[in-house]
Amino acid sequence: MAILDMREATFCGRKTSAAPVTIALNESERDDLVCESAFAAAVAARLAAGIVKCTTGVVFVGGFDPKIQPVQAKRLTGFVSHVGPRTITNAAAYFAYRAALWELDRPSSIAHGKALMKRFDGLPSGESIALAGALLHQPLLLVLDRPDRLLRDAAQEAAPNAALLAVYGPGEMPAKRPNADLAIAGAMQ
Amino acid sequence: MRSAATFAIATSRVRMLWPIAAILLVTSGIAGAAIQVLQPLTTRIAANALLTSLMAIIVAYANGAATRNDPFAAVEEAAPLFGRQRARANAIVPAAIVLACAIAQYAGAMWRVNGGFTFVSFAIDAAAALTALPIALSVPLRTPLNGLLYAIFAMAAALLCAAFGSAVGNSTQSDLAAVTASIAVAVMIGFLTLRQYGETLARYDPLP
Repeated sequence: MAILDMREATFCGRKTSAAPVTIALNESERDDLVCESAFAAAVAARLAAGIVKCTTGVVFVGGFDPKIQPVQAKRLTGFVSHVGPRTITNAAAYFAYRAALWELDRPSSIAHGKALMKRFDGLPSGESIALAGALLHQPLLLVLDRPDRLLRDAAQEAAPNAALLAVYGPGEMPAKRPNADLAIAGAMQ
Repeated sequence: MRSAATFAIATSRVRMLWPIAAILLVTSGIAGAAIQVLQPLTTRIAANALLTSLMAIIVAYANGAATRNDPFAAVEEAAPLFGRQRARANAIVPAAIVLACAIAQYAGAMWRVNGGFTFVSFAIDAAAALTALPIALSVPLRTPLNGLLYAIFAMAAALLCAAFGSAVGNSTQSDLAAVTASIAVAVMIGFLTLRQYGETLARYDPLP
């Protein structure tokens, strides 16, 4: 069973719509999705993470339909927003907050988050906190909303077993680093 | 609901809402004193209820803005919480603020009329505020026109609560009956509208 299964999933709001998206991701698989606009990319990322409900088509996260079982779907998903948590400076408070919302043990979550941050060398502090926070509950699916190359690579290395979806607007997708495919292949073995 | 999540969300709201709460408390105190010049008593009761419901609408709007602007709150949309859980956690701090506004109004009235404002009036006022709040919490989630209708509905519910409490008090000549009646209306309307707010949160699509 695919961790993320999106079939012709669309979103139609009052002022916006997202084109149909079809993706299936299994454990350890990675995919990049380029949308027609930055806003559509943000919506598509939220569709995949079960935050926004699709208007037509279907989305399943670990077999759960976010329309019917949003809590179960969100438990399996880590989501890194393009903005929001990246402006946080107090990492311990942020990890404690996430621990409370995800029913995790507070001290061990803070320690785990800080240990994760140490692995993200070169990432800006805000992005490092956001990514470590999203990985605290060890998600099976990691959705990145318009990440830069550093963030995507760090996510890939920190969660080798999770399915990873990075969503971009037009012209936002960063070039792969030269040995990226090799690193992915190594992680999948 | 899980107390850790409730406490975490409430703490994050306190961090964002305390400046607006301070302004509303001062405003409520001054307005509470000013309302006491109104005659007759029924006009004063209606004015008090309308003022607290207005405070509830402002707090609800500020609460919505806090949810959008607070980087901590941005995580809530991705958290595995049911709509009803988020509704209860979201309502705690605004409810405390509108209750504090009712107390400030009471204090202002006591200062203005030198102790002539009764505790019953305060209790009816507080119940009216808590009736309006769960309806007002949906205002930021709606389109501007629907939000306006919800705001009007919140004020009407507060007026209904105050009017019912006053009517029961007048007909039975009992303060206890007046307070009980207004609290009963607040609990009845508050329960239903808080559930509805939870449903709204569950169905709401938080676009960036």
